[in-house]
Amino acid sequence: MRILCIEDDTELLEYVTKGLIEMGHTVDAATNGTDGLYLATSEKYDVILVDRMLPGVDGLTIIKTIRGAENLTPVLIFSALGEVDDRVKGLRVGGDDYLVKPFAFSELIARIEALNRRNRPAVEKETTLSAKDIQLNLLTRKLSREDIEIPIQTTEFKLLEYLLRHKGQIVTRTMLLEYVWDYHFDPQTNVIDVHISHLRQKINKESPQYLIKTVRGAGYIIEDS
Amino acid sequence: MFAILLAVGLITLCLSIFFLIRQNPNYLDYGFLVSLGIASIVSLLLVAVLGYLVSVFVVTRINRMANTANEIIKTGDLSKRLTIDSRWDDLSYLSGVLNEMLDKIEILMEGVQHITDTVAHDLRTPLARLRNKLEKSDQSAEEKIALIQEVDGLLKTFNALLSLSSIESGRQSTKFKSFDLEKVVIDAIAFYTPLAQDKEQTIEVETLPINYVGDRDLFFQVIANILDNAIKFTPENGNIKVAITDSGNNRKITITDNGPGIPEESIDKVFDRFYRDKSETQKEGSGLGLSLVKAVLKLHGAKIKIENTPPGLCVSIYLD
Repeated sequence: MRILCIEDDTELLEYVTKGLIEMGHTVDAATNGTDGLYLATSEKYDVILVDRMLPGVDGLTIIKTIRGAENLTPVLIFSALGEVDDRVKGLRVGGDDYLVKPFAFSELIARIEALNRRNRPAVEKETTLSAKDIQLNLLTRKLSREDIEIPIQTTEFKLLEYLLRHKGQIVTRTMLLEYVWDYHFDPQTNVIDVHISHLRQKINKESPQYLIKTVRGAGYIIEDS
Repeated sequence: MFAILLAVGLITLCLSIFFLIRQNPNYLDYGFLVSLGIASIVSLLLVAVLGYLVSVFVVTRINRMANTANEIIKTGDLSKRLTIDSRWDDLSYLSGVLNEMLDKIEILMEGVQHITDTVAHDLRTPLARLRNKLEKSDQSAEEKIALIQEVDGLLKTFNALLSLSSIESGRQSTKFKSFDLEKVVIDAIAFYTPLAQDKEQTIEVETLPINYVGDRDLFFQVIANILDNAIKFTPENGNIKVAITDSGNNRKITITDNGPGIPEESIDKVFDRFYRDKSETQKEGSGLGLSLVKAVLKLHGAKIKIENTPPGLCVSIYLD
């Protein structure tokens, strides 16, 4: 992937750039808004990471400008401003995702991959999501394994749908909270883990890790088989 | 003070003479003038003596107040109070009010002290653990994850503290919107149901459509924190009941469980930051959950009441 990272905190920039390069991505970096905007408009990237507060041109203006030029490159905003209001503002001007500092590198990677996938045009509108012998029908909202139907609740359906849509990618707990539950909050207990374990029980009582694997220290993954 | 009294006396005297003469010029004979002179000297003396006494009274009291204040500043001992030896004058009233203010400041300072102690303790322990583990340079993947979890815990506490102070500053009330509170309550219950299922607990729900103006995410957090506590402290096979009721202008959410309740003596402390009952220090949690609940409700102008209703605990949120 070719990634542009615009961030004025040089320490963070270096940490992010180094990590992304180690994973085999090509990274261009800019430490101020003016350079960042120049790169964003003159080069072609798969994903752009931009800080909200920047010297020169601020992050939101950069997004507005490139969107104004009909450039649809996915943009991930990161910022120390974590309140919901700020997220909404960032997404409204055309950002695709919002990550609050400080963030874990695994969280950043998971989100970049999700963004890159979103950018790929869907060949046709999917009606069934599948992995291994599991089929999730989006129209009838039914889950089946080897053609045997497994009763599933609304939340479990949404969880599985999100995981299947991001098949082959790590999905973090925060991503699940934001996209499956649509609330921004901090659960005091790791309730998400309990939801996942119930879902696993339903899919396969004998070997619960059968479909949804835990990636320690990061989140969950349904492997692309 | 003294000079003002003297001046006022003189002016009234001059004015009274002036008016007397204008009304009846015939009085201007010698005898009248003599008696007038004596009268004025006597009244001036009287004013002077009275004024002196009043000013001595006032000055000594003010000085005494200043001395006490000085002492408090120098020693930092907030338990000192101004002496009050009479009830009738304004200065004693002022002293009384200032003493009340000192009471309040003392309580607040004790609170700050307590929070600093607990913050120091709660953050120092994980930091120390972290440091010890980092000393060993060869980390296995397993240990690395443990370290990351430790840091995550710290970040969580800091984040909770920050959002607490942001809520308490009241800035967030500018973005209040009308939202479906019934849905938020039902969503929060759905979110926690698997946790209750694992403990074989049942959650009974009794809601009614309700719209509320406020911050939807913060309210979700409120219900989530209370449910989290209820599930945590209610034993297996317990029962939790969530109800929204509306009696005229008294909309209320109650969350009742049949757990052990809270010892009566610590029921007021549960909202304090970092407060954890002795029995729960083993359980996970930051001790900030209910502080956050209270701050959010205060921001919305709502009230919360926690009471023991044996068997169990009843948390009521008064929305209006």
